Amino acid sequence: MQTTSPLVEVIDLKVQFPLDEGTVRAVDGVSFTIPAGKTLGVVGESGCGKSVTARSIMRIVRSPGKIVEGRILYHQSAAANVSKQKSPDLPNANGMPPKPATQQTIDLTALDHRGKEIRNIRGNHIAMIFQEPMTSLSPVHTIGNQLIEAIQLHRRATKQEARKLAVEMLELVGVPRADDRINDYPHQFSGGMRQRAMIAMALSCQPSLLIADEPTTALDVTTEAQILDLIRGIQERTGMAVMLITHNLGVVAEMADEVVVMYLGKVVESADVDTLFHNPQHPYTQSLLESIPRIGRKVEDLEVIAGSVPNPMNIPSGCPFHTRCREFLPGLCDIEVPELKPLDDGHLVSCLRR
Amino acid sequence: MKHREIPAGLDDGEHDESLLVDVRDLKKHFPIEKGLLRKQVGSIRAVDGVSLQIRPSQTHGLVGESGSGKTTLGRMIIRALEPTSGEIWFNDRDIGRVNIATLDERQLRQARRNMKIVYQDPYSSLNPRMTVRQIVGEHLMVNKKATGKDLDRQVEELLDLVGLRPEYGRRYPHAFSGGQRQRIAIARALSMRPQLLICDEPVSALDVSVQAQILKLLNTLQQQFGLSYLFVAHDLSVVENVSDHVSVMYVGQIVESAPKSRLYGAPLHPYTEALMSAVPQPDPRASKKRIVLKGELPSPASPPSGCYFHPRCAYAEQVCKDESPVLEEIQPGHFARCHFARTLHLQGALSTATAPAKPTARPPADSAPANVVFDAAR
Repeated sequence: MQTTSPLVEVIDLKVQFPLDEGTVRAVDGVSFTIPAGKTLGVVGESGCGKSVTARSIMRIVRSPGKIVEGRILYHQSAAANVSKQKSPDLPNANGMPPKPATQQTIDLTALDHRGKEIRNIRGNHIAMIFQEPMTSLSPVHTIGNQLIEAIQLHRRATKQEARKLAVEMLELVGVPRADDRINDYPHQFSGGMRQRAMIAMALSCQPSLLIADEPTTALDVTTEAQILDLIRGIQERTGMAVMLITHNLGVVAEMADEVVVMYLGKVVESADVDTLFHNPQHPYTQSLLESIPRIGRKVEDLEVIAGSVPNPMNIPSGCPFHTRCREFLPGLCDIEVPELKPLDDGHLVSCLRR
Repeated sequence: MKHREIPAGLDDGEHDESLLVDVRDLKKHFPIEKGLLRKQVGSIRAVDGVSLQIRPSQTHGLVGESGSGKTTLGRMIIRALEPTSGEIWFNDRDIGRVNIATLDERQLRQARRNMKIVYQDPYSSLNPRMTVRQIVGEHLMVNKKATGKDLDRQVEELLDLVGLRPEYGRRYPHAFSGGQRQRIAIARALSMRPQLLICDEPVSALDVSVQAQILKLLNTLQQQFGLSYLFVAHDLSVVENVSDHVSVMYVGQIVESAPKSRLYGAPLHPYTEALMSAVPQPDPRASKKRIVLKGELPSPASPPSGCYFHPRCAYAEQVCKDESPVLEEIQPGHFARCHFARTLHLQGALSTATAPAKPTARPPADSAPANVVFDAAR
């Protein structure tokens, strides 16, 4: 996978939730690029807008949330380049026509979120898996029927063909006795197996981008290792891009090629994974890295970020992090709004003191 | 388990006076009932013969995956759950050494003043209809330790202790963030100045930055009051950071137990090794070679034959399928439940440089308490 052409470009995205108590600026001018075939990690604490950003790409932001500004460009040509490299061992039931190869770039924000075009992209070109698989699977339909429905929605396939592909997908993600278990309901699956079924469903149309929103947060470490291994393995074989949203810096370090750090609806730092972990520049990133308990370190040495994430209804003036920042400079940080500036090659930081 | 584990230097029925908690062969079997007559058709052995000791002013870490029985064990120690069998000896500063498992209601109320629990989810563990002052002061009021102005003053002191502003006392839990709520829960637990605090996943529902705050707070409180903790968690890094001694649970049993530097430096059970290798390291340059376990945690209702871990173990041989291993003291103070604990060379999470160099150079466990061994190792 040598390709680094951008697959999805998010440009100055703003998403707001007008509520009775005031407007929540959940995403406030976010820009980043998801390179084709690579993994982009999006890190941040709860309430920083990482999930809303992901949902914006899928155009499934919950009402009353609205994209008020910005563009999300989906480059289909980049996707086509990658899919050429796809290895043939991925199940692709015979006789199914491939997705029409188009060379166009689509602005996802311009589409009607209920329209035909976005529904063709959603699930087909861009798929998403969520944190809690139990709430994203229907409890009253079998795993198989849900998979078959997803396949038939986007492919011209008979029920038998779709079922065959569904079984193959379940086998691919490591569900034992897939032919049998395809008739099970979600409650008969364990947490790890449910997440596998979700991944099978997401991958059934061979998307060029998989958005994984905290895919392993609800799982045990040993199951987490299995699921991460699975995602990485499939990515190597199919060349799909992954947008991995997590608060777990360990998972990001292991999976991501590029990392975006978000705080209160803004990108505060973005760099390749090695730079971000070994030469972080934003005080928030630095503190975050020092606050993780690591084996061999004493509690006394843990860095503590004072306070908690401010109320998104009431974002601090100037730099949103200034209330918790150890390098806070009165008269500067609480007045001026920092911009995301390049430090050196590909390393962007939003801090007035850098 | 038929085998009864007795800590080194102790005879059955004899008590080590230096222990705060001495749990012996504790079991909790939940019946599986079927049919109209609720006939018992089997049992879920959630906790199946666990022994563990907690020393004063120390932290005993308990790790395991969900379903391993660690929460059930924690709850049985304060008898929020009735044990099926076993003993829970607690060295109460007011009523002396008692077996929590056999206390009557009145004595239990007495003993519970000195042992408290902090739960995982601070969103459901605090009563939303009570103010913070009522929540934190409830134990003091019920036990008639303080009233009126004195109660208010003590609550304010407690809030100050956990890093909350005293005027927050008038507010209700919904006005607080997760980290602040966990502070409230800790203030409530501390109000009777307990000897033992059972922390059941106290930081796993919190954001990373707030997690560090709570861990530091627990650490400070331990130094200030000489508190003992049973720290139940699934996060191995967190447990390593806070504990003096660590036990690993798998399907209701302790599979390994040792001073923390020993457990993390030179684990003796393959499950411990796999668990440690599975933790994603926050360093992209770290080795990505991991032991990915096959399959899932077996159900405690129908555990596998022999060693419960054998279907997932990379080192399993025929004997592991046939015979159940017992928890044995392989090295002084280091217990493991594995047929091959003496012969396997397993990889720890700590580099060998920080791990104790020669196990034989250590003093035997019965002549030195675990904490001394641990400090010397550092």
